[in-house]
Amino acid sequence: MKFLTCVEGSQAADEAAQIGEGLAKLAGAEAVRFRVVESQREAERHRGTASLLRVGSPVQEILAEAERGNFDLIVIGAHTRHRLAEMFVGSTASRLAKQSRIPVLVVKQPHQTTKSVLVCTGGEAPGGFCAQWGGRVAAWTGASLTILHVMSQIAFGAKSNLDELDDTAEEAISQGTREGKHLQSAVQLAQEAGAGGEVKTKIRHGLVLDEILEEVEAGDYDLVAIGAHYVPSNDPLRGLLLDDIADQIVNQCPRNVLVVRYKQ
Amino acid sequence: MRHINWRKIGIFILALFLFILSIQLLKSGAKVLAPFVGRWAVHNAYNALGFGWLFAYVVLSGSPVAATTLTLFDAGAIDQLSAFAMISGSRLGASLIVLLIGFVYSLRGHDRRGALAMGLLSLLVTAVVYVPALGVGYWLLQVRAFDWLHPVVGSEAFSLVDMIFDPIVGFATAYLPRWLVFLVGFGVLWYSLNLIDQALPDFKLKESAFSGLARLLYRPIVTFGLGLAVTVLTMSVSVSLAILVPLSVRGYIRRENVIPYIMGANITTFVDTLIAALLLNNPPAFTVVLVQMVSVLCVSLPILIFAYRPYERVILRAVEIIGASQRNLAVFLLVIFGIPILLMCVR
Repeated sequence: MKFLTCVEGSQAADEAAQIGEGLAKLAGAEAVRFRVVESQREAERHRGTASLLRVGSPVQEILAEAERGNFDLIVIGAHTRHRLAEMFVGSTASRLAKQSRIPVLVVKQPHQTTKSVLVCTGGEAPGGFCAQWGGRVAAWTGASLTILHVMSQIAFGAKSNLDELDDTAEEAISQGTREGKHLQSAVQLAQEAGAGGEVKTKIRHGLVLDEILEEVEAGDYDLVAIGAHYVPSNDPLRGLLLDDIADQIVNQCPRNVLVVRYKQ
Repeated sequence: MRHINWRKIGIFILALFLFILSIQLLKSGAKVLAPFVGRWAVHNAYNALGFGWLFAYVVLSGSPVAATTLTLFDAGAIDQLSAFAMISGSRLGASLIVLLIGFVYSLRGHDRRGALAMGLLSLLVTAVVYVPALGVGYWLLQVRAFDWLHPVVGSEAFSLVDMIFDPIVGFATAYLPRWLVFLVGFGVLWYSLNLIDQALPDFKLKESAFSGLARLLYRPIVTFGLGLAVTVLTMSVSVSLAILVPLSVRGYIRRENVIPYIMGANITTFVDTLIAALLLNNPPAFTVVLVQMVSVLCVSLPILIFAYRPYERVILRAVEIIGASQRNLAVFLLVIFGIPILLMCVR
């Protein structure tokens, strides 16, 4: 495995890179420090501060390098030095997490050791893919793992099974509902990926974003992993239509966030 | 050609015929009712709002009330502001049917909160948008913002309508008292709107046809636009919502999607009322309906763009609180029936 850890000269980014390097060590992976600068002159000045140095736009260069170098994970700090620019165009981390086909770990709490991981799954293919990554991180760090599904549906029409809408995870699994089957499969995928010990499952009811943020707070998790559909740049319509919960989690969740995009 | 459902086309043509006939009958009957409406029921815009609201409860639908309001306005029974308020009232009462269906489910032993959620949501989303929209609409009417817009329907079309429907209306007025013609007209209107619902194609769509429309989370503005577009075709919020249901095998809709969808549907649900205004050939009536749509849009768009998340949370929290106990539900029912009754008493 290969991890691409991104630095840009700030202390926060350095600390984020250290988290990535620590994780790489636990995973037995190779970690490569990567820095993008704005000009050739700057590149000369910062030579030696990273294993790889490129000139250009940070998001584009990181994505290109991650593809070119067959990296498995990108690690980046949540904020850069350019806080004002972030307010208008979004942080580099947020844009990277949105565009990358490779999982992106956005570090918000560099001093926090990972003791508990929350995997958020929407009940579709990206959720399973995310459970695998959650399982891997839990295996590397020895963290406990919880898989969360939020049911935001309400019933409409005579055919609606109203009782299923209030199910707990245990009820959903024992009754073999769609959500129950998905949770069971996610647990299996996480365990196959190496998650040791008990993998907990949870179902919450309400608005997806609100419930995830409340669970993060209530469970005091150190890392939140969320799956999302990968929207290729040649399919902007899909990006325009769908609400990107992963992006909102990256922006609003105070903990480290791992975004795992699934490409069909 | 094999896929054309001629039966549905036949029903649609019949529904259209009955819809136009009903407007002609109502128009003819309303003239004699005008003094009574003014003297006994609607003295001011508050009364009109309450009247439209309660009337929609009685007939469990808003569209026939809105179209009937225009014929009363056309006959001079109510003024423009009262017509606007009565049409707003018709929308406030229209969602009661969804709550009643949920209530029947809960009586059958289903979980009350789940069964009532959709009805409560429809009523609350409508109320939260329509109440401020009343203010916006009042202002638009005062400044005569749309008085310049007088859509013209060709005189040939009206000649054709007169040629076809005058004998029928003449026959009815010759043998029935005018108030009964009005009642018959209302019955025909109600039936024709139901026929239009039946004439809609069957939406036997698979989830994949819309990339999991009912399962995925869409941007609020997208589902708002979808509600707007689908309801142009169906002309009814409940029918428009029902189209979404087959997309989810289990009949579930995401909370995140349903609220903006209702907001969109609440605007274009007036398409049939707009057609009724054109059939009456009454430009001020057309203006009333247009102001209604524009004022709802003026309230809905800022909510969607600037305050959607807090709005969504407040609405859902209110639904949760109301459905939490029978006492809360009773208080809610008292409020939604009490307010229009009180409005009717304002002098």
